[in-house]
Amino acid sequence: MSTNALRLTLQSAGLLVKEQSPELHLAESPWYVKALLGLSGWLAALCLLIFFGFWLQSLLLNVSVSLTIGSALIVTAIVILRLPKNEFYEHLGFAASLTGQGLLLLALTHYTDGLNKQLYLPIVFVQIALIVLIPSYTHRVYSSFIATVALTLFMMSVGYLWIFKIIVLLSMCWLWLNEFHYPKHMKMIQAVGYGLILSEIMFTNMYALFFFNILGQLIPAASQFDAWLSPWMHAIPATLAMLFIARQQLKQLGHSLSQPVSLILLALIVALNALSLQIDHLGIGLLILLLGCAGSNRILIGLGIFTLLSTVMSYYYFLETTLLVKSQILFISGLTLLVFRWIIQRLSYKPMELKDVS
Amino acid sequence: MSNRSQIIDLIERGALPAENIDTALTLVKVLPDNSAWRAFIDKFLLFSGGMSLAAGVIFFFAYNWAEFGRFAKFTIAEVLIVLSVLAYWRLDSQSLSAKVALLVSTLLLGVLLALYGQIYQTGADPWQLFFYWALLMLPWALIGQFVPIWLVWVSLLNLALMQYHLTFRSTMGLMQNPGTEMLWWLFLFNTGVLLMWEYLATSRKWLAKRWAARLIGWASGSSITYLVLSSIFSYESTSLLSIVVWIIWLLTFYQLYRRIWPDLFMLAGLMLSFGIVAFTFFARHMITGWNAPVFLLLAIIIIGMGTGASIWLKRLQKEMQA
Repeated sequence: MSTNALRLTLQSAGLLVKEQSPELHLAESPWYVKALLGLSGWLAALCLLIFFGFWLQSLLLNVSVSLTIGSALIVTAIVILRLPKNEFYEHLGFAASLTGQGLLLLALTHYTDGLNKQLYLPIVFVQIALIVLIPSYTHRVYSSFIATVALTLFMMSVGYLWIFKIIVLLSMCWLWLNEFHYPKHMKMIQAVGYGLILSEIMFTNMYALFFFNILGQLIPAASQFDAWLSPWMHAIPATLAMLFIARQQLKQLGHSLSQPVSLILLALIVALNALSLQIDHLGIGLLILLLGCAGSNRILIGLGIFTLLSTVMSYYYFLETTLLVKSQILFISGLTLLVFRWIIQRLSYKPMELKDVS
Repeated sequence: MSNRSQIIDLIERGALPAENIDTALTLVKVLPDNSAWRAFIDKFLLFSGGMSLAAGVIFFFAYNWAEFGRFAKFTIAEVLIVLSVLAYWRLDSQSLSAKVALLVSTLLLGVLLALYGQIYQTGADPWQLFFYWALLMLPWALIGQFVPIWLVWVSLLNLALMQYHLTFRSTMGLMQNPGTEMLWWLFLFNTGVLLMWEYLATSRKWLAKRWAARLIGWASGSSITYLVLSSIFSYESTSLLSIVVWIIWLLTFYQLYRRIWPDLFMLAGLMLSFGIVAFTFFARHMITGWNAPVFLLLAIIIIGMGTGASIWLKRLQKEMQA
C-alpha cells in the first residue's frame, strides 16, 4: 500500500492524530543500511583496538590501565550515542563502544586465564546495561546478540542449557508477538528480538561455522553446543514456542482450539517438529518463519527461509544415518506435508488455489 | 516502504496512539487475517512438500544403491519427471501448484543426468552436467514463467562456469591467472543476466521480484569487487582493466538504480563495494610496518566513509519515498 493510501485508510477510520514531533523524526533506515553501519563500526573498532594495542602496548599489559581505558571508551560511547541522532555520532559511538568492550574483555581475561565460563556472566551484565543505556538500535541488536550467546555458553557450562533454551525461545515469541503493545519500548523490543534470533541462527549453523573454523578459534566451548542437547531437546522447546504462537494467533482470529482446522494446524506443528528429530534445528527455522509471518516482518521471513535452507543442506552431510534413510524420511515428509495441505484446503471455508503470488 | 514499516514510522512520529495500534495493524493487514494465514500455510506446505519430495529423490540417487538395477533407477527417475510434468499439464498453468511441479521436474532432470553419468561412466566433466542441465531445462523455464526456476537456471550456469575453470584452469588461455579469469566470466555472465532481467521485468510483472534481482546483483558485485581486491594485493596484466571496469560498473549501476530502476538495496551494495575497495586500498598502501597512527587514521577513514554512506543513503531513501 502506498504511503498516501495507507494514511488515508487510517485517517478514514479515525485512527490517526496530529504528529507530535514531525520535525524531529528521521526516516527509519532499512536493515541493510543498519548492517552497513554495524560493519563499518566493527571494522573501525578493530583498527582502534590495534591502534591502542601498538600505542599503549606496555600499558595495556597492566590490567588496571586496560580496564580504565576500556571503561572510559564505553562511557564516552554512551554519552555520544545519547546525543541527538546524527550519523557521524552513531558511527563514532559504535566504534568507541566496541573498542572499549574489547579492551575490557582483554583486561578480564587476565583474571580468568583466557575466554572461559568465568567471563560469561560479566559479559552478559555489561551487555544488558548497554542495552538499557545506549538507545542506538544497531548497538542494541549487537548487545542482545552477545548477551544471549554469552548466557547460552554459561548455561551450557552449568548444565541448564535445555531449560534456558526453552526460556529463550518463549521470550523470542513473546517479544515479537507483543512488539507493538509497548510503543515507547517498541524499538528496544525489536532490537532485542533480532539479537535473540541472530544468536539462535548462529548456534543453528554451528556446523558450518566450525567447518570454516571461525568460531572454533574464539570459543572452543561452543563446539559442545550440539553435544549438550539431544535432538528432542531441540525439538521440544521449538514445539512449545510454535504452539504458543499458534494458540495466540487462533485466539486473535476468533477460532476455538477444538475446531477441526485448529486441531489439524496443531497436529501439523507437532509433525514438523517431529521431523526436526531427524533434521537438526529444523524447528528453529520454522519458528523464525512463523514469527515473521505473524508480524508481516520480511526480515524474519528471509532469516527463517535462510535457516531452513541451511539446515536442510547440512542434513545431506549429517553422518548419523545413511543417504537412503534420509531420502526415505524426506520422501515421507514431502508426502505428509502435501496431505496436510490437501486436508486443510478441504476443511477451510472454501478451497483455494493460489495464483502465482510468490 | 512496507505497510509494517509505515505503521512503525507513524507510531514513532506519535501519529498513531497506543489504543489504536492493534486496529490499525489489522486494518492494513500487518497482522495477518484468516486469508493471509491460509495463503501462507498453503504456500509453505506446497513448497516444502514439493522440495522435500525432490530432495528425497536426489538423496536416494546419491546413495547409489547397488542392489537397484540400472534400468530400475532410470525408470524411477524418468517416471517421476513424467509425473511432475503431467501434474503441471493437468493443473492450471498459472497456479502455484503447477509451477512448483515444474520446478520439481527441473530438479529431477538434474538427477537423471547425474544418474546417466554415474551408470555409464561417460568420463564427462562435472561442468558438462550443469551446463547440459541448464540447457535442457531452458524450455521449461521459458514456459513456466516462475522466478525460482530461472534462479536455478542462473545458478547452474554459474556452477558450470566455476567447474569449467576448475577443470581446464583457463578459457582459451585468455589470462595468466585462471582464478581471475573465472571471476571475469562470472562477472560478465551475472551482470549480463541482471541487465536482461531488469529490462524484461519492466514489461513482465512475474519477473519483477526484487529479491531475485538483488541476489543476481550480489553475484555480479561480489565478483568484480573481488577482482579489484586481487588487483590491489597482486598486480597483474589485467589489474588496470579490472579497476577501470569496476569504475564503469559503479557509475553505470548508479545511474540505472538511481534513475531508471530505483532500488536502495542495490545502491547500498554499490556503496559497500566502494567502501571495501577504498578501505583495502588505503590499508594496503598505508600499513607498512608496526605503525600505530596508521590504524587510527584507518579507523577515522572508515567512520568517515560509513557516515557519508549512511547520510547519502538516507537522503536517497527520502527521495524515493517522496
